[in-house]
Parts: sequence; C-alpha cells; structure tokens
Amino acid sequence: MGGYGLYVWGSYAMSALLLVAELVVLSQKPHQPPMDPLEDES
Amino acid sequence: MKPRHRRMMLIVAAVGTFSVAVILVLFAFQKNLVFFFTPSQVMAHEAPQGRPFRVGGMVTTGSLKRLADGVSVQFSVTDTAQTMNVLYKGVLPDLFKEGKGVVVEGALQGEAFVASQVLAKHDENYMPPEAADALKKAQETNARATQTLAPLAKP
Amino acid sequence: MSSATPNQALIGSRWFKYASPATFYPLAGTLAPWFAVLSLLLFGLGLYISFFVAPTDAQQGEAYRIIFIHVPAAWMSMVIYLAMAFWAGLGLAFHTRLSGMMASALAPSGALFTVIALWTGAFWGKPTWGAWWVWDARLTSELLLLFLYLGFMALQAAIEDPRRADRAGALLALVGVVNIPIIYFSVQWWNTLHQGASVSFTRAPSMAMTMLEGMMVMSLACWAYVFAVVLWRVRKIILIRERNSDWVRQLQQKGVL
Repeated sequence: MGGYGLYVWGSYAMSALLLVAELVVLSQKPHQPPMDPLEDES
Repeated sequence: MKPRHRRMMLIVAAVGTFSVAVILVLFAFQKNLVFFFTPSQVMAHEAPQGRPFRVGGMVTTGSLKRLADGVSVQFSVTDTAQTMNVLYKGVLPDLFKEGKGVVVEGALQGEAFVASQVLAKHDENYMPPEAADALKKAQETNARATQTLAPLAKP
Repeated sequence: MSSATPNQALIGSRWFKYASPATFYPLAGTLAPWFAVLSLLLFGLGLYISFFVAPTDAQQGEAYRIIFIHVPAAWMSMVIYLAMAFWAGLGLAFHTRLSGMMASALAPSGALFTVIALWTGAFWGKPTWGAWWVWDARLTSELLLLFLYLGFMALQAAIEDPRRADRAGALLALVGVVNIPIIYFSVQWWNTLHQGASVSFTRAPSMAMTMLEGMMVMSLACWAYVFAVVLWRVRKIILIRERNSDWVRQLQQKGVL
C-alpha cells in the first residue's frame, strides 16, 4: 500500500471487526425478561 | 383536525423552529467557530491577539527553504491576495507541497508566524497519475497559448 | 387490539396490516436473509473494485483507498439518523408502537457506522493531513452525531416504560436532526481542514469513474447490510416488547424462539 499499509489496513480491519461484533451481539440468545403474569393486552 | 395530525404538525413546527434557531446562533458565533484565518484576514488584524490561531491558504511556489540548523523550514502561505511568512521546526506531512493547500497553527512573533503544527490540506479531486499528468500538460499548453496570443489581443 | 381504523382506507389495507408488530415480524424474517446475501455479494464486488480496479491517486497515493469505507460509512451514519428520527417522529405523532421499535433498532447501527466513519477518518487524516484529529466543523459535528446516537440509546435504556422511552428518545432524535445538514454543509459554510464533497447532487463528480463506482458499490453494500441487521434487530425488539401477546406466547410454546 505504498507505505500507507498501517493506515489502510488499520481502517478496514477495525471496520470489519466492528461489523462482525455487531453480528455476534445480535446472534446472542436474548435474555428473555420474565413473562409478565397473564394480562389482557387490549 | 385529528389529534394525531395536530401532534405531527406541532412536531414539524418545533423541529423546524429549533433548527432555524440553532443555525442562526451558529452563524452569529461564526467568528469564534473559525477553524483558520486567511492571510488577508491576518493582515487585516482579524485574527486573535495573544493566543495561538490557525492560518490556511496555499504554499507559495518556490518559497520553501530549509534553514541553516537543518531542522527548521520557512515557507510562505498565500490566499493570492496577501502572503505570510511561516517558520516551522518539525517534520512536514507527506502531502505538504508547494502550490498546495496548508493549514498552520501557531502565533505571530513580530513579522513571522511561528508554527507549532503544519497540516496539509488537500482538495476533493481524485484521479490517477496519468490523468493528473494530462491535466498538468493541458494547463501548461493553455498558459503558453495565452502568452502567445496576448499580443494579438490589442485593439 | 384491532388495527382497523378509517385510515386503512387511505393507506391501503394490504400494507397497513404491516404496521402491526405481529404481521411485520414474519415479513422482517423473510426479508432479512435476502439483504444479508445481497450485502455479502456487494461487499465482495465493492472491495474488489476498491483494491484491484480503481487506480492509485495522483495526490494521495494508496492512502486514498480508505475512502471506499470512510465515505459509505459517513453517508450511512447520516442517513440512518434521518430514518431513525423519521420513525421516532412517526411514533410520537401516531402512537404506533412499531415505529418506535424501528427507531430503537436503527440507533445501534447508526452509532456503529459513525464510529467507523470517525475511526477510518482519523486513520486517513494522519498520513495525509498530518493529524489524527482536528476540531474543525466537519469532524466536530460528526462526533456530535455519535453522542446523539449514544444519548438516544442511553435514554431509552434508562426508561422502564417502553412508551415513555419511545417518547423521550423521539424528542432527542428530532432535536438532533438539525445536526445532519450541519454535518453535510459544514465544509461549505465554514473554513475546514476536511475537504469539500467529491460527489454531490449539483456538480459533476471530481473523481475517476472506477473510483466512483467503487464508492457506490460499497455504499450499496453498507445499505443492504444495514437493512439486514436492522430487520434482525427489530425482530428481537418486537419479541421483547410484545412478549405478553398471544402470538409470541404461541411461538415460545412451539419452541421456535
């Protein structure tokens, strides 16, 4: 990268990392809040 | 009108009003939000006294000189109307070039502006080297043509 | 609760039903994978163009290639905010639950792309300008955008009742909308270190064709990615917010969740 490798790869690596982290967080099983006692939603 | 339509109108009106207010405030404070001054503004004493400020412009072609101590450099910054001399001790950024944009931060010491930081300002044009060379050649040809044709333009 | 109101006739009963979380949930589930695949293909094509087709830049050399992630991310950071404010405003005015959920689903993606824009911008600024960061109008207003996103998310997390959280978040989101034109026009209105727009609606682009193509494909890739992620996220939000409704309980009993 013409001597600018650190900057170019540093940019793309962090971007990829963040996007993958987002996907990882999304694929976690959600901590289901305890179901409220049966109530009429309407 | 329906309550929810009234709510929507109120929201739009509120956001619009707030936006206009913010923009007005920003324009009013523009002097204090200035990131850099032009050499003309500095010459007109518009730059703050007694504290560091930034000057932005173009590096005058042919003005870059390395000084005797081997580390300091001297160059001129111009906005084509006024020119200022800048003294700087340090490493210049890769993109620093004569004829290109620059922003320097520092303070006036007598006649010279002593810079603590020099930043290269580049434009928004992107082109491959071949295109840049072609552009430069075209500009040089243009300049020569203007010089050749100028005497013929007499009325 | 029936969603049949006189508005149905106006908007078209076929689409209006998707304003209900129960019907939107499966629709989002069907659409998301398509957007995911699309984004994968577009990222592949975009990165190929960015690194193997687009030529080097006469001024900046290879460092300019950061543009292919920096500009799309910056564009997304602004567009997502506008979408977020739109849905939040809609929810505020019409009291529609799903609108508020969409706004909440958009916020983390918006914050993420703002971080990417700021980080890649810093890594681009250091070798070219000579500084990781300056407080010029463009950079400062983009940083402010990040604070707006984080503020929105924090505000919603702090308020227990989802309706009140939606309302509070919406107010913050709408107030912050003014920041978007400020970010965009900052390079015209003030003296900035950040350069002006290479691509605009009013002027011809100031970049080589292949460079522009790379930027556009990467932008579309980010767009498709965001669609997939936000649809995925809003489904999770729907399940939490609607956990007491029959259709969610049925899904849980079926063991699908």
